[in-house]
Amino acid sequence: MSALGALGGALGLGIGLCWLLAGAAAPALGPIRKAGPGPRADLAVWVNGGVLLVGITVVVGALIAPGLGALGLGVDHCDVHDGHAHLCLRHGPAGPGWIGGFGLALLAARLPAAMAALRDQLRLERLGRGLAALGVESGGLRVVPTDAPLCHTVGLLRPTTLISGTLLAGLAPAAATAVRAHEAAHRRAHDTRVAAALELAAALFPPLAPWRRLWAAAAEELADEAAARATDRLTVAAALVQVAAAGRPPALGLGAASGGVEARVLRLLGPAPAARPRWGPVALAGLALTLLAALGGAHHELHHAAETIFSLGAPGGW
Amino acid sequence: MTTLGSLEQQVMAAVWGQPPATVREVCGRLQGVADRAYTTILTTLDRLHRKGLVERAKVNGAWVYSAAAEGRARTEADALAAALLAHGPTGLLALVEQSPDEATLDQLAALIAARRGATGGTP
Repeated sequence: MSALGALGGALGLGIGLCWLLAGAAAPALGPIRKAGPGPRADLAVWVNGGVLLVGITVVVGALIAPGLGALGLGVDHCDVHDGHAHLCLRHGPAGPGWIGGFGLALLAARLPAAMAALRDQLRLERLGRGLAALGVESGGLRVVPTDAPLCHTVGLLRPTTLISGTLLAGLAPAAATAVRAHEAAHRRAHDTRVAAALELAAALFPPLAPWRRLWAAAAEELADEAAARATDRLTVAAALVQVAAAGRPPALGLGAASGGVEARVLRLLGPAPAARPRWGPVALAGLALTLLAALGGAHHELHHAAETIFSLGAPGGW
Repeated sequence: MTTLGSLEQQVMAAVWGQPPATVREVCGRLQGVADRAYTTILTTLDRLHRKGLVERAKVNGAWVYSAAAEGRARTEADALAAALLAHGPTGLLALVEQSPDEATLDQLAALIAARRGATGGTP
C-alpha cells in the first residue's frame, strides 16, 4: 500500500499542478487573441505542451529517488528524514495526503471524458479510412462519391483530405486549387495529430479547452494563408464562401454561430499578415530538454519539494 | 489506389454529380477550364471508363458518360459521410466548420465581388 500511496500522491500532485498551471495561463488568452495566426497557434501548442511536460516532470522527478531506492539501485534516504512528509515507495507515506487525493479525484473525474475523446478519435479514424477507400485520389484530395458537403482532413498516421465529388465538381478551377493548397497545408503541419493531442489534453484538463479553440482557429487561418500564397486572397475567400454555401443546411444554418467563416473571409479581404518564423515547436523542444536536464540534475530537489508540499498539506507530520 | 492525371481530374470534375453527358457536352463543361480537342476528351473518358471511374451507355447512337459508383459505393459513402458530419467539429479538420446564414454569405460574396471589381480581377 505504501508504494501505491506514494505513486498516487506524486500523480495527484502532478495532476493538481497541471490544473493550476492551465488555470494560471487563462489570463494570457485575451492579449494572445490579438496576435497573428502563427504566434497564436504556437502559443496554444506551447501552453498545452508546457503544462503537460511540467506535470510529467514533477511526477517522474518526485519518484526517481524512491524508485531507485526501492529497486536497490540508490540510497534509501528514509533514514535521513526528520519527520516531514515522506514520499517513499517502500515505507510510506501511509496515504497520499489530501493534496494527492484531490489531484487523483480530479483525474478520476476527467478520465471518462478523456476516454470518450479517445473513442471519438478512433471512430473518426475508422470513418475516414472507410470514406478514403471509397474515394479516388485526385491531386492530393480523396474524392468521395457523395453529395454530402464533405471537405475534411482526417487521419493521425496518414492524414487524408476527403472531399465530395459533387462539391469538387461545383468549384471553379481556381477555388479547387485554393482548397487543395489549404488542405495540403494542414497535412504538412500534421494538424490532425496536434488537434487530437489538444483534444485529449482539454478533456483531461478543461482549463486548456480555450487554448484548443484558439489553436483550431489559428490553424485554419494559417492554412488560408498557405492557400492564398498558392492562389490569391480573394480566390481563397470566394472558395470559403462557396464551400460554406454548399454545406449550409437549408434551415438549421440560419442563425447558427458561424463567426469562423465570416472572420476568416474578412481577414482574407484585408492585407496579408507579416510572415513570422514559427518558434512554437522549437520552444517546446527546448522546454522538454530543459525539463529532462532538470530530471537528471535536480530530481532530488523535485522529490523533496514534493514532500514539502505534502508536509504543508499534513502539518502534523506522517 | 486509383490515381488521376491532371486532365483526368478535370474530366472527372466535369462528370461528378452531373447528369450523364455525351463527349461533346463534357467538352462544353470543360470550356475555359481545359480547352481540349474532342478526340482528347473522348480518349480520356475511355481511359476513365477502363479504370472503372466512369460508366457509359449508348443513347440514340451516342455514348453518354456518367461518374461510376452511383450504386452501392455511393450509398455507403453517403452513410459514412453523414456519420462523419454528425460527429461534429471535435477532432476533425473541416475547411468550413459551420456555415453562416444565407444573408451573411450573400454579404460576404458581395464584398468579395466588390473587391475584385476594385482590383480589376475577374469575378
